[in-house]
Amino acid sequence: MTNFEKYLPKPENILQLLHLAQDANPLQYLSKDALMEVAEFLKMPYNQVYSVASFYSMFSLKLRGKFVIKVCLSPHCVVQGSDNLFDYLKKATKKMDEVSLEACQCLGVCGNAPVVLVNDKVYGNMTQEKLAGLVQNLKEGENVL
Amino acid sequence: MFYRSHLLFVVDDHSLGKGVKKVIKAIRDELAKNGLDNEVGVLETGTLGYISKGVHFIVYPDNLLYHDVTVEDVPFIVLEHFLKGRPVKKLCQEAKQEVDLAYSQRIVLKNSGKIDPESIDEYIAVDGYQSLGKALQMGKEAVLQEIKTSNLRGRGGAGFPTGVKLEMTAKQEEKQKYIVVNADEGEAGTFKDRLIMEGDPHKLLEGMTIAAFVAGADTGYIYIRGEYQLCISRLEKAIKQAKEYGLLGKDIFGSGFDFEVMVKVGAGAYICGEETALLNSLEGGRGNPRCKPPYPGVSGLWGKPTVVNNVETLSNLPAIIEKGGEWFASIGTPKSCGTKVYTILGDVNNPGLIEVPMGTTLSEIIFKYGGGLKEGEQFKAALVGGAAGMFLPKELLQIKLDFENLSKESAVLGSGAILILSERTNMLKVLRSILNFFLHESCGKCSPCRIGCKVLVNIVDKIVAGQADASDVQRLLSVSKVMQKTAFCALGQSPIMPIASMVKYFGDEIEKFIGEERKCK
Repeated sequence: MTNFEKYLPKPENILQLLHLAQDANPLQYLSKDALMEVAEFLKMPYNQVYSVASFYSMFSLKLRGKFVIKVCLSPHCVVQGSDNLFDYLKKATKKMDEVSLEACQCLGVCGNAPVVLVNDKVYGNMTQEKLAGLVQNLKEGENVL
Repeated sequence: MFYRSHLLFVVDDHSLGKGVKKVIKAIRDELAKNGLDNEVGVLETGTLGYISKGVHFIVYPDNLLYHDVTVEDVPFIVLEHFLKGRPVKKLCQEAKQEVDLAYSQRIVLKNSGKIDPESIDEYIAVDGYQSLGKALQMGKEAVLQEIKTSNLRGRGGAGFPTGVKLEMTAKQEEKQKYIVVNADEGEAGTFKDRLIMEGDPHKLLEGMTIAAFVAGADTGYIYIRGEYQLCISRLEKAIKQAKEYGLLGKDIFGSGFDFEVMVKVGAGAYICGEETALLNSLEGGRGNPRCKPPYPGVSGLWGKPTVVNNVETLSNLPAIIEKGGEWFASIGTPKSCGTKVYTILGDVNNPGLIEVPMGTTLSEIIFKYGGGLKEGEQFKAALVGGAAGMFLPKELLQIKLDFENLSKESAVLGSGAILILSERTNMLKVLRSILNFFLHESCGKCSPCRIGCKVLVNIVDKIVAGQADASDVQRLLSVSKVMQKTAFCALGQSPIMPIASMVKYFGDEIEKFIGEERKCK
């Protein structure tokens, strides 16, 4: 049971609860059980919880790897070549089950473009060489560069 | 304790990414090792406005700016500068505050980079919360009049007069009213609100409380993007401190005015920056926009009158109350008053955050504050206003950036993001990423936006692949035009801005991708 008690069982707290539930799962996604738990806590129909969870891009309803890599594909990062980095990562992490690759929109760290996010860690000024090193470290189970 | 010298480290999301915490630890250790920890103070502050200077800090009273500092540099800096008194020239420059940072003109960012954002005492020391006290003494009517005199207009994009908005809610007879701060900043290339909140969170709280007092709200919500972890923690800390000091909560300053503030965290949806979508999200639903009217000022959160304002707008209020509406109205142009915070990005020497009066020309922003284009580059276009903004070509470099002059060119100020593109840039690539952004962020409520965004992306993909003909460019325009006329909210109405300006000013770039023989057909 995830620690929901610090929030009141009101519908307005649903996003915080979903954040909690997702963070508690090492596979970084919202399972059906987790959604059920939130639904029961809020006394809300399951389909309503599902509908909210499926709307927001920070929540995943699909199983993800231990490391979730997000590449910013907003105009500024693309001008700095993040689309090429995304294609590179797609190939490099193809066979790695522990890594899920996602595209994302502006993270507001544009000064360090192109930006790559691994779980909660922001890596700026990325190049293909740096990414190769990062992927190698992820293979060894470490989220560092 | 008395220090002979202070080091002010900029701790924001940009420098955190460059390892500022490690450098701070190293410098503290090194100072202690040399027995200087009683003489040299190390402090953490918010942004100065630089975003590409790596780990940087200012040394007072020398007024020197060290930049791109790494852990390896630390022993040398401490030995040379603080032990022997010789600044390390290759790592530092004189902090040219007048030009680079335009500190003298700052209102919203006045304290950022100077005070510790996590300390309420430092904010109070620079006259913080004084305006709140003054406002409570002045009374609702007088404060509202002052805000109306100031001619302050919303800084979130639409530019609606703040005084009118507050008055609309103040007039409602409902007992329960709310105030909501829109900090769901998702516009591509915009991070002004993030740095305002990271650099001076108390200013937002103070402005918010003043607005709540005028509107008659007793509860406030700050809706922050889920990705902005540092903002969330700094604001929560600020709220806690303000409550301890009695500056929030019951009976503020003994005036009988109660006000509570809560931070709400979003979960990654650009559409939640639209005010009614934000309200739906706050209530715990999907972030779909609502039908307007009724406007939130009449019927908003849970059907109650609600003021929804941008972070920057509210952060202007303390200064307006302190110095008066007329003072504020004298800055900028007659119809767009005050200052505006811009984020300058792209191929310029000094990308970053600046605050300058409304009506400053684009060329001044690029060449004076942005430090000009990088060596060997030539200016091609500026994307003003983020993804929902417009490409401005060389011919419009002298345009004044304010609400009126931009709308003459059918452009918008938007969020204040300015992306500078050099001659080398592939404009279609930029356009494609913008349209992909809209496709990704469309909430799917209305068909024009849901289907239209996909159609637009398909057409641009076709152009990039060299399979398009001239009629496709026309289709790009007509589809976005239909979207502008029929989409439910501003998101679907926006793609026409970048598309129309691209076709108008950079049509030749698109034509390069359209084969000659196809044109004949």
